[in-house]
Amino acid sequence: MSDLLKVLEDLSARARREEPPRVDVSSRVVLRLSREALTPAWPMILFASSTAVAAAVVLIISLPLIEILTDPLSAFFLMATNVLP
Amino acid sequence: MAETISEMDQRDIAASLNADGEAYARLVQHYQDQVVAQMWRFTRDTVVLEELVQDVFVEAYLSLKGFRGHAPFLHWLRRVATRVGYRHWKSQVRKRDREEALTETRLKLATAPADLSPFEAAEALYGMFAKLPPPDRMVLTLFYFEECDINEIASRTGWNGTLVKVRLHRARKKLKALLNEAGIRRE
Repeated sequence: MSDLLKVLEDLSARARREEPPRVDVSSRVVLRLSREALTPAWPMILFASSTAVAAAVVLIISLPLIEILTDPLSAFFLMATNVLP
Repeated sequence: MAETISEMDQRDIAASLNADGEAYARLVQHYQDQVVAQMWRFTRDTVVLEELVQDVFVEAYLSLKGFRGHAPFLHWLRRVATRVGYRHWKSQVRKRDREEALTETRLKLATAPADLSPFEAAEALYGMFAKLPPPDRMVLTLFYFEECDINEIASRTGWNGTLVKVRLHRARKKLKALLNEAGIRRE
């Protein structure tokens, strides 16, 4: 084991002197973020809210229709209850 | 190194949180050399290196709200970088890499470390560690390449100190067994 440790220590001491490559990622990071995260959230919130409102309106209109389709006699019973004393 | 966050970093972080791209670009430019040096331990491919460095800064931005400012920004960034590097290793198809690394290591270790250039020594060390599973590879990389002590390894990985000690001991044993198995012995 001590031989291995010696090799590791020798190698790592030498390896730490290595110069890493020069890389500049700042513009690419900002570009990626501008696509993913830096854009303000309000347009998406506005769009999501208007979609939710439209969906709610459609739901309110379509619910009675669904009821008539699934139970065709319900309209008849409703009329009957209004007519009967 | 100062143990608190600098005023300039504080200003840039606050501006970045308000979607100021230029402020975040300044932070990236300020710290990218340290992050590049760290990520160079996780890959020896310059194309992958660039991607990893980008990933670190994108992930850092997305988690920026969680930065409390109790320690320098670089300490926090190093933890993010460790996470990104670890994920990269786990996602790699390691079988082929291991075989290539083994051949490479055999060649490098045929020479005494004293004769190796820093680049060759780093390649040899990278090749040796690449034969191990990610947790062992991580602990050896941080200990030998990055010269981290047990507390620093624990801080960067989120493992506790005892676990780090145990992993370090086991990783050395595994490495020795693997090298012996492959017939790599130092004369």
